[in-house]
Parts: sequence; C-alpha cells; structure tokens
Amino acid sequence: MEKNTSNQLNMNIELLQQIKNVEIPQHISSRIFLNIQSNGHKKLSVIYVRRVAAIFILFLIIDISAIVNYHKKQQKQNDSNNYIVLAKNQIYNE
Amino acid sequence: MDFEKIYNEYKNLVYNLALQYVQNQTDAQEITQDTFLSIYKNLDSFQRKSSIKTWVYRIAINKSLDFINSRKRIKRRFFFDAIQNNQTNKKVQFSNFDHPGIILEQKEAVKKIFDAINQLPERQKTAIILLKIENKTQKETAFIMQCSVKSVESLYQRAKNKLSKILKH
Repeated sequence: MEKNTSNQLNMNIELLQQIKNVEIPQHISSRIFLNIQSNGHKKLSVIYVRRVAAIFILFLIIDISAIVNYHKKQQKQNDSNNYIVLAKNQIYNE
Repeated sequence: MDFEKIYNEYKNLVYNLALQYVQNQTDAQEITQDTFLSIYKNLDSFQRKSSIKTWVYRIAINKSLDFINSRKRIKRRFFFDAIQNNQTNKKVQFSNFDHPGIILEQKEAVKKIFDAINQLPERQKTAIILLKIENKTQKETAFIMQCSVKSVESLYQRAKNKLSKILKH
C-alpha cells in the first residue's frame, strides 16, 4: 500500500518533469522592456499622489472641525448674549 | 553589466519560473515585469557575491511569492469570516489554470498535482519547483535558497510526504 502510494507520487513528479519551457510572447517582452525603459517612476508617482491626497484630506478634516467648533462657540455666545438682553429687558420692565 | 543583455538572457527563465508558481500566463507576465523592474533598479547595488543567474533566480522567486501573498491578502479583504480566512490561506486558488508548457492530454493530471503543490508551505514549494521542474541539483537549489544541502533534502522529503497525503484525499 505504502509502496503503491510512493510509486504514484513518483509518477506524478515525473509528469512535472515533462513540462516544457515556453518563450515569453514577443509583444509582452517589448511591453515589459518599454515600461522598464520609460522607468519605474509610475509606481512611485502613484504613491506620491496618494500621500499628497491623504495629507490634503487630513487638513480638510481639521479645517472642517475648526469651522464647526467656531460656529458652535459663536452660537453659544449669541445664546448667552440673548439671555443677557432678555434678562436686562425683564429688569427694565419690572 | 548591461540590463538589456541580462533581460535577453534571462527573460524566459524568469517567465517559466513564474509560470511554475502561478500556472497562469497573465500572472506570470506580471511577475516577470516586476522581477525585471527590480533587477533594473538594483543592478547598481548588485554585489557579485553570487552569479547573476542565482541573483535573478532569487529575485524571481521572491517576486512570485510576493505576488501569491498579495493575492491572499486580497482574498482576506473579501472574506471577513475568520474561519473562512484560515481555509483560504491553506488553499490558494489562482486565476485560471493556464500553463502553456503542458500538453493537453496531461493537463488534468498536472493541474491536480499543481493544486497539491499550491497547498505546500513556501519553502517546500520552492524546493519542489527548483529540484523537479527546473531540474536543479540539490547544491544549486541550496545556493539559490540560501540554505544548506541538508535543509533542501529535508524540505524535499517533507514536501513529498505532504504531497502524497494531499493526493490521497
């Protein structure tokens, strides 16, 4: 049984040894070569653009939160001013 | 050394090696491109501690394994379930079985063997590919894999045992 399995495996491995070497297609070869000659900066530039975009988004979020905070503060101040005016009016009325 | 010369000498070696790892022409072409891009970028820093052929082999193997790992990561992103995750790690399925070096009559049988080989750990898979498909000697394989001949022997034995177990099922 053990020997049988081993024989089967050896037969399978022999099949692997029959795999033929193939040539890389010419058009692929020239495409690769052109890409390499025109340099590998493509990938770098993608990374660069992503980083710049990430920083931009970060600043945008900070800006928006600052604006929201400013408006909230202003609203609070307005509210308290309104209360003061109301209180003053009440006092005058009395 | 001139890049063009290296390219012309090793383009088929890299392409065929990539094919043994991914068994798909499109993926192998992508790996070949990545490999030569890396060779082009690092040619100046190549220290002649090994032959240029060994160096090319090492880069091609690393790029192939990187490609397979990136495929695994993409799969992981799509399958959130942790249990499924483990299963996909064990058995990586490639795009389509499309190996041009295999004759039609043997396609099914060889596909079955490659399915089993794809389930082996990285180093065992590399040992099988270099020894049995690339027909390298144990010494050459050890030199490419940067380990001892004994390690290669043990890797090959373990790979064989695991393969026979997988193929039994």
